[in-house]
Parts: sequence; structure tokens; C-alpha cells
Amino acid sequence: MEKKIEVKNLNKIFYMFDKDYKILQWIVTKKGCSKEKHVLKNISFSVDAGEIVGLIGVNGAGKSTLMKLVAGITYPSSGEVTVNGRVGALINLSAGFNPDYTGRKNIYYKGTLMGMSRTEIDHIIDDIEEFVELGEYFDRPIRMYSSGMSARLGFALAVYTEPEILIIDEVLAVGDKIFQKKSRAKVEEMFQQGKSVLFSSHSDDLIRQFCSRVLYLKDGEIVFDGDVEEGLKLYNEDIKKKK
Amino acid sequence: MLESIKYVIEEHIANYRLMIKVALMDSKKQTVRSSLGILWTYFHDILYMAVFILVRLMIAGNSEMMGMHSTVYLITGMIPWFFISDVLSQGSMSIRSNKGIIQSIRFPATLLPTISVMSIFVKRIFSFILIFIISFGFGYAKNFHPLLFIYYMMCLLALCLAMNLVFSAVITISEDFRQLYGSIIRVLIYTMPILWDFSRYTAIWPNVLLRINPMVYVVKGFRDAFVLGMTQDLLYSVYFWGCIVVIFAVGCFLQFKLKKFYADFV
Repeated sequence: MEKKIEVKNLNKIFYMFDKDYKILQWIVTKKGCSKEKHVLKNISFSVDAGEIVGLIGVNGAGKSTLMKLVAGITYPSSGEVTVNGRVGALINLSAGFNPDYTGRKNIYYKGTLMGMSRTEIDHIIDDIEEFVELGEYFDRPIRMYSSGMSARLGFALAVYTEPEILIIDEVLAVGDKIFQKKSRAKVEEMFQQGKSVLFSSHSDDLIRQFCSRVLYLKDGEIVFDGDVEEGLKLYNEDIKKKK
Repeated sequence: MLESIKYVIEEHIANYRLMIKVALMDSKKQTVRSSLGILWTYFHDILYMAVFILVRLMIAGNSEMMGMHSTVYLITGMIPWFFISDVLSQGSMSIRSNKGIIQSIRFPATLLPTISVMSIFVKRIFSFILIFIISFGFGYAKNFHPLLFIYYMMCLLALCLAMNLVFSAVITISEDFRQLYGSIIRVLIYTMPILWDFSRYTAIWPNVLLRINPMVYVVKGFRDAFVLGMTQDLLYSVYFWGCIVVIFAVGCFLQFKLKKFYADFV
């Protein structure tokens, strides 16, 4: 089966500096870094076409960093990330919009930045308008939006760009209950279309409902890769021990 | 170093269509809230120039500077300067102010400085028409050198593109540098032959010191193109292009090394 996401020996180190300018010293001499934080250690896994993989772990375990690396938003310190196909990343949904543009114009703007052509966006703009249910606000500057409204816009843009690979970071809680239901239904629909999905959530139910496999990330390492129930059991036991 | 230059150039070539599209959209970004839009940019310029021209006329009357009417002298210096100044102030923020994009989608960050120079160029292209109107109006039409104009336009763009690679990177990571930079660009105009004429200083050292800044070459060049003809010596031209190569190389190095930090750090 075709591998849609392949991660090999991935490491991510965050470098911290006491003073900003020390970065300059660091990139030239590799000195001046006050602290290194190894957030991902030697991660290897792959996601096949049509597979929905859940990512579990406590806050700070490295889930978001791993997702950003797969989405190509940040760079690995070492190792490889290979992604075959267009990625739809549901990460930082309301970021990257221009507050002075209308919702419609922002879809064109961010869509272009994502590498879409005007005609491609023309095709999806009506669907997006209908999906976000913003009414007349869709043609108002998004500085007038509430945070939930701009997140809806981001969500719609990411799912309507026909991604083959979906990366979902804790975002099925966007907007009010009605929109949550709708966004969940949309995501389920995409799951059924056989997209490959990397999905992080703190809700055991969601993981059980959708995923065929889980990765349990603990302190930057994958400690479990396999059956959903087994993974969740391990994770919940660890949490109980901490309490 | 060579690796980083190669990387930046390749990324630019691979994404040139995207850059043009985004630059065209960005050129309208700042003025989208106002009803007069881009006209405000020109309004600022014209007001600024009018003040200096009037003051000069009040102090010295219909006088000449470097063998041309003072109004033409001021205009040919100030319009390229406005372009440089926009690149220094807005262009240098291109990575910092687009952190939302860097942190939410996969977008090659090294393109952002170039995109902002392109969008400033699109926004300002008409301001160069003002030089034509005024210098031709003062009867300097026969002095116009189209080839020199094209050459110095290229120099201006090369300088701005190279410079912006460096400044946008450093400003993104260092708040101290941003403060220092902010105060330097405010006084920079007075160190260049834009509002005053330093050809009357014949001593070598002041001349060399003032010319270290490669922007001086471009500003003088525009006067050459519109009025004076070729006056800059070969040595200074070599120095200018040497500066461009060095600035560009440093810019590529910084962008290449820092691109890994932008999303985590901005």
C-alpha cells in the first residue's frame, strides 16, 4: 500500500537563547545557545493511504510539533519527513488572514499563498460560503469577526482545498455546538473518502470513533504504535499514575 | 555560503509565479481600508517634497544645485529615496508581520522579503513618472538618458532586494537591532546627497565617508539619468556591485540558516 506520510528518525530540538542576538552567533559558530530542548526524539512511523491515525499524549509531549513538522510548517533538526500529496493542515486556523480583507477576499488571499490558482478557488468559494454560514459577514472585513468566526473560515479553507492528507490538531472544537457538529460531519465525510489522516485529540471517544491505530507520544518519544484500545489503556494508566 | 545562495535562488525561480501573484495582492493590502487607497502613498510623497521644495525656494530662490534647478535636484533624489525608505521600513518587517502565514501554512519564508520589495515596487512605480513630469517641465527633456535610467532602476532594485534579505532576517530575530535600525533609518536621508549637495566638499575623506553607503550611488545615478549624464566613475560602480554581491550573499546565508527558526521563534 502506498505510504502517504513517512517519518524517519526525526528529531526536533528547540534552541533557547538568553538574548535574541545570540542566534546570530549561534548560526555562525554553533555557540551561544543557553538551553537545548529535545522535543522529539528519533521518531519513525508511517501512515498508509486511507489510514486514520490518532496521536495521543499529554500537553507538551510533542504532538503539535510533530504535526507541524508533517505539515511542513517547521523544519526538523535531523531526520526525514516525506509526504505524498496535498496536505490540509487544521493547525492555527485563524492565523494568516489579513484583518482588513473580507472573508471572501481572505479565502482568495490565503488560498493563493497555499499555492492554489484563481480558478481553483473560484470553484470552491461558493461551497465555502455556504459551509461557514457567516451570512453577510462573509463580505465584511474579518477584523469584525469573533474568534470563532475566523476559525470557521480557516477550517473551511483547509477542508475544501481537496487535501489528500489531513492533519488535525485538536480543532474539532471550533465554533459553537452547531458548527462543531457540522465540522465533525465534514471531517467524517472526508475520513470516509479514504484520506490519510493524522489526528490528535484529548478525547478518548473521538479517537475510538475514528482511528484505526494510535501513536502514543510521551516526552518526545513514541512509546506505543498500534491498536487503539491498547494505546488508550496505556495512556490512561500513565495519567492515573501521575495523579 | 554557496549552498545558501543556491538554495535561495532556486526557491525564487521555482516560485516566481506565486511571488508575482502574492506581490500584486500585497500591494493593495495596506491601503485597503481607505477609500482613496494607493493615492495616499502619493499624497504623502507630494506633501513631503512640496515642503522641502518650498523651503529651498524661500531660502535660496530660483537657485541651482549641481548645475540643475534645485527643484529638479530635490525630486530626482527624493523619489528613489522614498522607494528605498519604504523597503527599509515596511519591507524589513516582511517576515515579522507575516508570522501568521509562517505558522499556519507551508510557505517558503525566504520569498517574503522579495515579495514585499516587489509589492512596494508595484505600489510606487507611478511615482517615477513624477520625475519625468517635473524634470521635463523644467526643460531637461533633452538631457534624459533612457539607458542610464534603466540601469539605475536595476541598481535600485538589486540594492533593495539584497538589503531586504539581510534586514528582514535580522529584524525578525532581534528586537535590539530593530530599535537601532529604526533610529538609523530616520537620519539616513541627511547623510545622503538628497536634500543637500555634497559636491562642494572637495576634501577626500568626507567624500569617501559619505559614499560608503551604496544608496548614494543609486541616488546620484538618478540625477545622472535625468540631467547630468554619466558622471560616476568606474571605481565607484565596481564598489557598488561588490557591495550588492556581499549583501546578497550575507542575506542568503541569514535567510537559509534562520528559516528553520522563523516558525518556532517569531
